[in-house]
Amino acid sequence: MTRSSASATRRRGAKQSRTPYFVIAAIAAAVLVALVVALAAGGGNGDDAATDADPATSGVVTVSGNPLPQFSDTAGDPAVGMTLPTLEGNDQSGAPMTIGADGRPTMIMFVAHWCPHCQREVPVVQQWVDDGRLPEGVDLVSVSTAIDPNRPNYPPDAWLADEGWTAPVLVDADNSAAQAVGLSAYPFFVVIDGNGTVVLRTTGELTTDQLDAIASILAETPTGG
Amino acid sequence: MSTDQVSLFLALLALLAEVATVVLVAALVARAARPATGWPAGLLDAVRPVALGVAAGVAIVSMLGSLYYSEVANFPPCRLCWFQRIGMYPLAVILPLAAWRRDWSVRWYALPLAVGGGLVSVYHLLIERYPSLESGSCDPSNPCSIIWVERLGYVTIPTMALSGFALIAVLLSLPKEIP
Repeated sequence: MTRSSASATRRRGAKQSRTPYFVIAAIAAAVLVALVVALAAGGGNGDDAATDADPATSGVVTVSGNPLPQFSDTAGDPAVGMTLPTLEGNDQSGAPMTIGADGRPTMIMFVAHWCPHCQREVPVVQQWVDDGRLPEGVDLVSVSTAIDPNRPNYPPDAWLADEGWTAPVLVDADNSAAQAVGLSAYPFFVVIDGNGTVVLRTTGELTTDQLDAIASILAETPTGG
Repeated sequence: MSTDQVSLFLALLALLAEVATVVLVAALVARAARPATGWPAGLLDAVRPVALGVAAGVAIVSMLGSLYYSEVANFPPCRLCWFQRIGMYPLAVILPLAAWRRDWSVRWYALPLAVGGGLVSVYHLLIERYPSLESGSCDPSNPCSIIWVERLGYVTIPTMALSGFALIAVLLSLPKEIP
């Protein structure tokens, strides 16, 4: 081996032995920068505005009457014709609120703040209401259930306020109301006539045409009294 | 560190992994067009000796991040999260061993796990952005469409997983010998 070729071999060897350390150092530096940025820019969760004593997140519903069977399908739903148990609790401001037979046909919408389908359906329903498509004599109420501060989009009252939600909201912190109506998925709809008799249950994102259809059926039902 | 800080840290690591993946893929493509010349050959020459170790590090960090979210932050893993764990957790064991032994034949076992896990991550990302692909409503327990974390405007947990799987797959796909 000549002196020049030996020198070239040494240079290549030196280059090969240095290069991995350079790569490792670059990776370590990048990870360190990421760590420093995270520590500097991090901070509180920002979702902790609500507290345990907040009526918008801690209300518990008292159920009176027989619970409805677990929902599986709108077609042949055994709950149709049964009486909705009365749901008593508080709204998001802490004021008493009851859902049950009050002489007026009612659409009840159960929502969970963390559910993406609920997040998409709430503005659809609100727009439907804003467009004046909720028939005269039919009420729309909602139930905020499955409340969990560890889940996204918490607290639910802030979310609903952001969406301009105008329907009354019953707070169901321990899922008592959800269980009493046989809820199986979110969003969940229970439709009752004025006597509190279940006319329909369904789940999922409804279109405004489907809301129209439900409301028109409901408008024809007994108003109780 | 708070959950927010850990999430930002992991999101930044995911961003780094994505940049590294794109650069390495570009180098591989450029090297295929013009072998052994210019920056692609130099970059691949520099990365290959540490590729197994880096892939092992990515797998370990991914596994620890996943365990942090479920065990410390109390974000319950959904069904698709578990499938991605099935892909990533074995990598966190076999890649460090392969790196220690400099055993490149591990790619035969690790690449299917990385590619399979990455495909699940892609599907999970689609479910997050288009929840109706999975179903028309939310499972009351733990639907996969919930976005537990979103940082830098786009990095969610399956995004982090996909970034890890992609970088591991590219590192394991580096040619055995650089001419």
